[in-house]
Amino acid sequence: MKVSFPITSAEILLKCIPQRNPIVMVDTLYAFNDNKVSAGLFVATTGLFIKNTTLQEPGLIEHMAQTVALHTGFGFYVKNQQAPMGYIGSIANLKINRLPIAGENIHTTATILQEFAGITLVDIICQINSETIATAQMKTVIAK
Amino acid sequence: MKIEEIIDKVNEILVEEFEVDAEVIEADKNLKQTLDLDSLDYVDLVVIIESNFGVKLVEADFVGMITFQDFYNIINNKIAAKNA
Repeated sequence: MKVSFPITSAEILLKCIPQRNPIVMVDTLYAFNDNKVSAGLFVATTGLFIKNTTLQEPGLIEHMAQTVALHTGFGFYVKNQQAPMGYIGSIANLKINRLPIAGENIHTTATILQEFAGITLVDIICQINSETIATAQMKTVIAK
Repeated sequence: MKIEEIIDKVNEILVEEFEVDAEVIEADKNLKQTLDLDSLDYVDLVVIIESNFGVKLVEADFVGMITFQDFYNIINNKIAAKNA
């Protein structure tokens, strides 16, 4: 399957992740390879995770998790297979320097550190205009 | 690297990573029960062994692995294979 980045088609992105609106927290897939994925989100003025025009911590964490989910899901999408359901297994070393505000674009990169028995360990970095706003290490688990 | 050195280093890593007393680690004890490992912990185990010994454990390595001695043996065999 031939694809070109960035991918902003909601139709394609929704084939890669199990979440549906109003929980969808990624709107762009910037890059993808075996070890890394980069995704984005434009922060709207309203939404489930928005309070006083600021994206709240749960929304940012959900955005991180969906970025990781895109890695797995897009891998299945390019093979024309259905993406599996996954869960956040654990979050460690979460550091939020500041929360994104409406009108900003979050650019998040997840680097795969290890994949073992359906569990993926990733380092995640969220940036806005090259400013690091949050980092974390996350384990995601593919449902069996 | 001798097996004794591997055992010492593995034990040192396990004590630090899984916050257990060194005394609870004995060669014939059950690894999973002693360290109270859940499925997510195995990823950490894979990561720390790879970073400290340069060998990668895979899912098949854990099949039939019960005791600490089994664990030491697998790491020892992997290191030996790598250096062969």
